[in-house]
Amino acid sequence: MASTILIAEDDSFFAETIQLSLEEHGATVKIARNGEEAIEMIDKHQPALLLLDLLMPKKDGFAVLMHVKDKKYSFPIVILSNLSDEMDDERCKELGVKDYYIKSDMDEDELWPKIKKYF
Amino acid sequence: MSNHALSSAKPAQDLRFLVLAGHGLQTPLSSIRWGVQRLRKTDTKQLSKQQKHLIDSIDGNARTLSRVLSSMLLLARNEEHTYTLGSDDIGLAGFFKQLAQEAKEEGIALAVSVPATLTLTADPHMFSTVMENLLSVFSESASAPKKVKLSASRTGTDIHIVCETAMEFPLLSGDGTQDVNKLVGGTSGLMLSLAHSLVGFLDGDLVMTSLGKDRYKLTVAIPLAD
Repeated sequence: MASTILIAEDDSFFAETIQLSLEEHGATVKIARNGEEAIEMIDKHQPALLLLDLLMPKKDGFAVLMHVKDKKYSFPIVILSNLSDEMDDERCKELGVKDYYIKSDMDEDELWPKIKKYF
Repeated sequence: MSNHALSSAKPAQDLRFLVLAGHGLQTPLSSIRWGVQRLRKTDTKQLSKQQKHLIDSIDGNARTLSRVLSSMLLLARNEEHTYTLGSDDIGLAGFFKQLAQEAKEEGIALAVSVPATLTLTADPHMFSTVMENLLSVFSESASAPKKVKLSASRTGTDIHIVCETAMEFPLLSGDGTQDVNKLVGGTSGLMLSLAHSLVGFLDGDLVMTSLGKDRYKLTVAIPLAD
């Protein structure tokens, strides 16, 4: 999965919409439906970029970030969440996140320009 | 836990529930918007005029709901003390002038009347968010009017921000004024919920007055800082 973007997002329709959007730009995209699945997929093959939701079942985005940090993985991580608390943003940055975007503040065609620099 | 402690804890629990429920609603709303935006990219020759109109309406309403939800969440977080409101002097003339330009780009004719020196002390991000959300109700609802008068003035110890437009909703009282807390539903309900957000952030009072012939004046009276 060297050139793959992994999306960790529990809303299936939203994840598939992101997938379609990114595939249009030539990316290979995989989806994890919760934090536990995301960790399993990351441990098998590290992605080129992780788009990570924070509020997910089983294990949340913070658990994924802690796991990535513990394992010392170096791929870039961008948060796509609707949590707009400044403390969440700061906490994520401390855990090595490259960028933090609020889903409800973005349009679909704004995603690729924001993330392509990390891919 | 004593009854007093329980009753004290309940408002905080209600707020936490509101915050979590709000976040839970935001993602499905975002997915509706993004999905509709992708539909718009479809070869439009395949869509009938009615289908295109439906897509526009869905997108507009999803945007409006998302913005209303954002305002509600910010209010709740402020009450919950997980968000601290800033306090800056906002030059209303300059602010509304920029808002009018943004409204024009969204097809709304926003006529502004504000004294050049009038300032409001508020959290600039919140004030900006709520005012933009208010305008979004007009731009994104197909049934909403596209001409709005926005004015602000200082009256004694308050600043009045007045929004005047044609809105379709029934008057519940016959004396030309309206208890805004009794109005629900439709575009007017959304406008009022957003206006309530403004009131909540700025600790103001909200009054709606009929101007006759389905025209209404929405006045937010914001007390000046001591």
